[in-house]
Amino acid sequence: MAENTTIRLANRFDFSQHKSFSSQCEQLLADSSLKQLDIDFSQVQYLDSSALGMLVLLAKKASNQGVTVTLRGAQGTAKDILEMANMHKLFAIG
Amino acid sequence: MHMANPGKLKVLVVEDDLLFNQFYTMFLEMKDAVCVSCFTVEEARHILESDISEQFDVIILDNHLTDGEGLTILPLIKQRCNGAAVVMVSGNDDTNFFLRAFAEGIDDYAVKPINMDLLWVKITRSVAQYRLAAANAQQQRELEIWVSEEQKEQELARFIFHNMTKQMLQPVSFIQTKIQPSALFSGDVVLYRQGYDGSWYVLLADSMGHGLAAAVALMPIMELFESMSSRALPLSNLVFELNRKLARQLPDDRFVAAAVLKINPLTDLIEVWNGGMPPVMLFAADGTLRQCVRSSNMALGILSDDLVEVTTKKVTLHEIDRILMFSDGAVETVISATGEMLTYTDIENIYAQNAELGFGNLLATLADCADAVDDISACEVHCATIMQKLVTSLREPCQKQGIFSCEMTLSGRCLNDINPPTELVELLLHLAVPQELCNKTYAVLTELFQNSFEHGVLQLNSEIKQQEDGFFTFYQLKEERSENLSATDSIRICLEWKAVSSELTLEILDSGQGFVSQSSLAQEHQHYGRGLSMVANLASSLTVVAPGNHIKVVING
Repeated sequence: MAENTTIRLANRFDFSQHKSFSSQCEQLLADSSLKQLDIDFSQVQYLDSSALGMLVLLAKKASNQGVTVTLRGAQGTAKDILEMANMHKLFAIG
Repeated sequence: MHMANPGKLKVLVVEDDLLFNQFYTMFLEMKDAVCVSCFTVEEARHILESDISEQFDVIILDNHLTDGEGLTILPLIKQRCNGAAVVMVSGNDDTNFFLRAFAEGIDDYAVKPINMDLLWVKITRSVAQYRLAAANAQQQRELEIWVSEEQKEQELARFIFHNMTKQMLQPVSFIQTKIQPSALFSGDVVLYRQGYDGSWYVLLADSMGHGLAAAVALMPIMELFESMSSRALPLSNLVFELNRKLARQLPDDRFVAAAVLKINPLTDLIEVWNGGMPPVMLFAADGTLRQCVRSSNMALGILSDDLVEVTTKKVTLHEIDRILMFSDGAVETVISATGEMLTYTDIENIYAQNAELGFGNLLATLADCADAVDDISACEVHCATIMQKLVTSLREPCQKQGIFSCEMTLSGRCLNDINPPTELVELLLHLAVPQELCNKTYAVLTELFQNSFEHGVLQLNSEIKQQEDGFFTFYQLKEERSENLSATDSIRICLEWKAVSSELTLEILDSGQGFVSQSSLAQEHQHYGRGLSMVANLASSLTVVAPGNHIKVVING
């Protein structure tokens, strides 16, 4: 398995993505060779607070396994929401 | 009549032809079904009116019976065996007849001569459809019961939640609030409380998600906010404790975004902490935006004690007329009139047009929104009224006569168990000492007691707080040293109030080492920082007695 991998998010990152996002993260983090996980926000136009919850949970799990997570490509409203939530305190921002 | 084997398919055969009747029965019994057979309409009626009628899964009904048409008993079948499928058999293949039969409620048909395998398929398929419909109906009933119970539970929770906040929130003229839930419950809450020093604490919190789950996540902080605010603790301490409690009690993916204010008329200071909320807007009297405190922290309940940032933004109170806080629901909602979302600039303009009516106009704009998907909440604090109340209370003459004096000494672990400022100011309030003097006394006493305890008795250096992670380190050291207090660690407080001169004298003496020489006192003034200068501002006189562990203060009210 690769040391670096990317999760690409759809245009709405909200509670409806909970199951697929969580299982995708779980699957990727199960691989002990993973060192770097990128979350691609370039398509995301909106995210809600449950999406922030999913990210916080991911940050905690990734940190426990020594995986660096980078949020990439956020723009517009999605960028504003990530900034308001101060996600840079948990993630690298690409 | 009696039918055994409750698990087997139960069939009523209504067929006047003896040969066919026996043929059906034998075939069905070979398929492990239980059969009851009859030959006439009259016999069929008799069976259908008996106790066993509702046990049938399927009825094979011939139409040409000796005493009438089989179709004539369909209404009785529907009435008595509502869950049974009806398969009509007939020598007549007239399409119009079967169309009529379907209209009256048969489920399938077979034309004589009967192919038994095909009949069996029709029987089992019809029964399967009935069973599916019955299972659906059962699920529907269970769902309705679940929804009804869920509603009852939500109503109960809402009742309790409403009463919790109602008890805490006695209406005050200078704080306006609006909570508009997107579901039965709101995950947003506004809390406010006046501390004993006369300062006002206001919190607008937006719990992750919405509905009951979001509201439940707010419960841990409600009582904590109440108790810490009433004791007029520093805003940083309040934020630290709120975060700590939520981080410990909420699941990892839950958190509470919050904006918190402390408005202190005595020190002419507003403090703001914003974690994950839209900007807190502070307006001047003419409606111009004087300060905009954006979120520079993560929401409460995410970061551990050593990572949470609790530094507050400080603004001079008399320069600010009103403060507006709102949740992200307010700016993520499409306004019907424009078809667009409200922006921060829109809100700024609403206040610029008319500051006094700003909050009302903002609510009117939000009321015009299309169906909100998130909770919407907003809160405005009119600071000018808080300042005005201070000025008014300063002018109130004291009607009391007499003197009150007391001395309190705490040593060892007792120092952890009692908060003397609260206890002593409660006594002053009982004695109807003017509110303003009580507030000042509380502010001064809290500062002095905290200094004596932390710096004198526990020998903690407040410079630690300025370092990275300093707040957590300071907190940890304080907890550790507080656990190891001995009987020789003590603080003595003397208080005297003279009604006639409306003068209050305070002395506080701790068992700490103070300072080595008188000359270092000036340095220690600096060391105490804003705390002691705040005391000097509020007091008529302040004396630090060498070696620095004994302070005398006179306060006039």
